[in-house]
Amino acid sequence: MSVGVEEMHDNRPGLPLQASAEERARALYQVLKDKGVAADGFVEGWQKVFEEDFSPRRGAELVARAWTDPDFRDLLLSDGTAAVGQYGYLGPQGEYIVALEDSASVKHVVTCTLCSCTAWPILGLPPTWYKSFEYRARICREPRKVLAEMGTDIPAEVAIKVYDTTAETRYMVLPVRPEGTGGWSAEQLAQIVTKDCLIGVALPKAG
Amino acid sequence: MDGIHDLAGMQGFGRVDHIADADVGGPFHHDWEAIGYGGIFLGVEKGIFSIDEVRHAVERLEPLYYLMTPYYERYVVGVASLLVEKRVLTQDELVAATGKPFPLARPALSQGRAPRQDRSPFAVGDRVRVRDDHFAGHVRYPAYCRGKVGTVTHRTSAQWPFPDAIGHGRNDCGSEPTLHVEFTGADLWGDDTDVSAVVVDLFETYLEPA
Repeated sequence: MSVGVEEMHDNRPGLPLQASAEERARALYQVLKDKGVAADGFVEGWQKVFEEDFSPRRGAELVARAWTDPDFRDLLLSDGTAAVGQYGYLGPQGEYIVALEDSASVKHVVTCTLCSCTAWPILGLPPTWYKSFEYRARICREPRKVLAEMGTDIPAEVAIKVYDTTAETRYMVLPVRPEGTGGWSAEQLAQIVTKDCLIGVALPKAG
Repeated sequence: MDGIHDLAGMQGFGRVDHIADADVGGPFHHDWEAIGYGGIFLGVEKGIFSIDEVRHAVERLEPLYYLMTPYYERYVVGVASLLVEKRVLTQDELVAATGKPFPLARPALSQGRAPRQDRSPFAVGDRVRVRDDHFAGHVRYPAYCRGKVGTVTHRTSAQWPFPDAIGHGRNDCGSEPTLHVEFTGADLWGDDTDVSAVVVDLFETYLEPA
């Protein structure tokens, strides 16, 4: 039933003979539909949610609100779940939220070294690089180097703290509000908070 | 399970293929990729399996296969493996659907385990040690923190079923909080690291007083 070394296909060393990923995925879905286990449109419905509802624009909105409203900032940091709940942004893989407060002395970075766990509803689904073995292996041991390679230079005097998403807490980073954004509206501020800022590998830029 | 998936801290990997804020497009680059995640929700909604069992199924892919298989494809195979193990469908039906072999995950090495009854109610500020235990079933602590001592920085106000149990579909999963435990980089990797601290979200059963 399971693949062993003895089943490696000559033409593709390392992998067993099998249909393409797409063929196997579609075959699985069709078999489930034929058996009445999956209703027509079930996967398509979830695809729509993943593509249209779960979004880092939500996380950006929360950050911008925290930057402009001290009471909300306090709530976001003391009870992230309640703060995110106020916006109706809780959901699958985003039911217990903890916001990580960056400062002049600490930079936070989020990972899931065992698989790919991410705060889906407020960060969106994780990007390919977040799920890569390179990121999962290296970020918790040499984050300063990994961030520098990505183009994000963290000064030596700033400590880097990596959060490994190993249970049900789902994280978002609350970055430091950059210089040069004085007087900006929450909408303007939200625009500079990217998905990568919420994961912690980028810093928001004033312009 | 000391599986191939538990590769945090492993050395020899190259650059992460990303420049900060580069456009990564949408969540799926091909429509079929949604079947991996869609299959998880289907199984969970119908009470066939838990998401923990899906994680464990993916961990059970033969190591070389795991390393050579792209992300969403691993979840298609993991979900398919669980559905076969739970007798919702057969491997023969999958093979017949494509006309080619449909390799699945390797069998579980364990039947899982129940949470401990002798847990301590840790609080913020406590020094705790990750139990130095080895278990062939599904676990949610990475090997880099096994046996290490850290400081509790958060105790969750919610509780969840113990992964080592629910990851095997058991019915003795209990319900317990998790602790955010902060380990210094030096305690984890000595001089060979540039991280100041790593915080791991650990179920109470995994911890003992330090």
